[in-house]
Amino acid sequence: MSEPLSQLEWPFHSPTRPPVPASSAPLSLETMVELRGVTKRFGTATAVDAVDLQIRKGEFITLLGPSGCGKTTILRMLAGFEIPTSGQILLEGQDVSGVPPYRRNVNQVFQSYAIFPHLSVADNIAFGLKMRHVPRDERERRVNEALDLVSLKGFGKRKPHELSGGQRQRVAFARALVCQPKVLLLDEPFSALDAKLRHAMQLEVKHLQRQLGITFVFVTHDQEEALIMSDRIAVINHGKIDQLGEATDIYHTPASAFTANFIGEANLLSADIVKKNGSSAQVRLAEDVELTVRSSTIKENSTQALLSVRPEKIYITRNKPMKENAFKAVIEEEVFRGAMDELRLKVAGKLELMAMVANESAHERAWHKGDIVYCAIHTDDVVVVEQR
Amino acid sequence: MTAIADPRTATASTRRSPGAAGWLLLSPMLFWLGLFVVAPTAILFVYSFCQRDELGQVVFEFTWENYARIADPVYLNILLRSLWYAGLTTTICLVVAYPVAYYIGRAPAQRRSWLLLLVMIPFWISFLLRTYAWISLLKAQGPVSALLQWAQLIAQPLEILYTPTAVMIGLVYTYLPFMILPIFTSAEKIDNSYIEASLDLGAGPWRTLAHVIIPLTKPGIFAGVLLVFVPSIGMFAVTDLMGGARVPMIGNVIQNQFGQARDWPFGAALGITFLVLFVIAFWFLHDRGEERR
Repeated sequence: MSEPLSQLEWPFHSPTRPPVPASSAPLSLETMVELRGVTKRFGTATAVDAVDLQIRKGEFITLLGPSGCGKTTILRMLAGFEIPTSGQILLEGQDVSGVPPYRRNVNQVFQSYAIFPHLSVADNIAFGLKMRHVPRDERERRVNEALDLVSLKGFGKRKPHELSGGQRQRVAFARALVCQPKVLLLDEPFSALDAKLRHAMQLEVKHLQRQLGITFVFVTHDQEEALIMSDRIAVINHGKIDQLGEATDIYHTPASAFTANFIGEANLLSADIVKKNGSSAQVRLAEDVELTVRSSTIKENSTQALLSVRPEKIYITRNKPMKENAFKAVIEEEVFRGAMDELRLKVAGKLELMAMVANESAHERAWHKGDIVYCAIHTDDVVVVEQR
Repeated sequence: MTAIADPRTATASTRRSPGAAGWLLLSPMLFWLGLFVVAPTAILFVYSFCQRDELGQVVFEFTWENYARIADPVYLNILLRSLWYAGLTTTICLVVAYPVAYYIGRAPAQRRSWLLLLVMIPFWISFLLRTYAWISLLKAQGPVSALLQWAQLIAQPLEILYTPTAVMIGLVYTYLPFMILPIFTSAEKIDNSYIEASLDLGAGPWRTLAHVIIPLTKPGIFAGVLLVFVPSIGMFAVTDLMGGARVPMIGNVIQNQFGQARDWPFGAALGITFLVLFVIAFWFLHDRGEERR
């Protein structure tokens, strides 16, 4: 059962391919796919609720959300497996809402890979070309190129059951990419791989996408995967897009409590608004605990605000820092989490906070239960989010 | 990295001889096979080389005569006709059963069990009763004839009973479930993503059927073809009852040797010849089936 190392380590080294720059030219702003008010109902249940979305040419966009949020239904409508109940899907400006999957220049990498068990690897990859009546010579050439692209040279004659999970996945990519689709749809393609291989594949697929310049629409429930791979992320909840933006925007300035909580970890704190002055506002978390925050996302006349603070953005010090937004706290619990230490803090006797601090020394612990410390949070790191 | 093991390697490493306990556990099965399969076949084999006296008693004296008689054009014709009828039955069954089996296999779980029940219900009634039911349905004064005359589709009473058509109707009716069930089992197992992948790659519904669905249901098709073709060659009851014994099949001939003709050795020779033909046919089909996997 031992396989040659070179077959397993595809993501780590690929001799036939030049290294790909981690970031490429700025993305085009042309629209490849547009969803206009797309709604999908199954019986009385609304899976997708009036979604508007513009997907740019050549971008890697991720639809991220918990299971049942409607992300897969959106993908299936893009593929043509489902027809929207209302609304339009435009592919390069053409309405394709009712066009069957076999007449769309869009291909999908399936979660289960769906490699045809009765066909060899080469025949699997050639399937789409055959259905499009590509002549035999060209078909063979393109199949070989595709095998090369995914570092499966010489695997053409193998049957799917002779391949490992990772290899099957590469066949699935080759089979979809060989058709040169306008858009490649990916339905949680890494969920069946173990953690190490998954991470390697994530980077490899991201590089592949940059190299080919094909628009990728990726569906996942794994927030880390989304952050690693995407140019933009659409966070989806209850059939609606909660927030759309670049990975860093979504992480650093979540728009809602849902997004803040779903992506990474967040302290969600409700605060009273004390006063607003121009671009900033003063809010009170508890007695004697006041913070200065950016007021741009605070609604007019509101007296309450919901704040999101990332745990690693809370700075812990022994001595009172000479900064604003600093307050005293007691360490209730300290949890070792490998690279980071998680500190459970209590502020003013009632407010609970979680902070992450780098785990710097292997020999001694910097923080102990019961320690009285100071927390400081930069104004930009306190994000006022919507309650949804 | 080797979490997903090659199934072939796995089978090879676990395949070994059964050992003492294994043989003990196998013994009821071996006993059963020996008593009901090997022994009767051996008796048949021995009889096929024997002679018979005037009263039809088997005389244990070696002869090739029984096998030589099979080459007689009379019997060869009957054999060819049987093959033709069985082939036609199998073809019609396949064409009729495939869409039905596929539909049942792809139906939602609850509806699936109801539909399967409908396929199975006829088995609860004796085969002979069902055949007699067909006879009274198809006879000239029967309801089918009356209905067709009432609808003015035919002028004369239906003259279908005791014709090859009636035999075909009987054979297809009898063996249809044996085609439906194995194909259903194959169709049920097809993961929907294979069909979607095919559509996604540009194959329309018909080409998806030809390039994905039929190849994936091949094991069921092979099983169904065997289950229909083999017994329908040897069938004698339907041909007797619905064909009025006017179109004798090889099954009727064999039955006759053990019955009225009282020529057991010749009947045994016919039976053994058939067995050999079936084994050859099965190997052929089986190998092709393996190749396709």
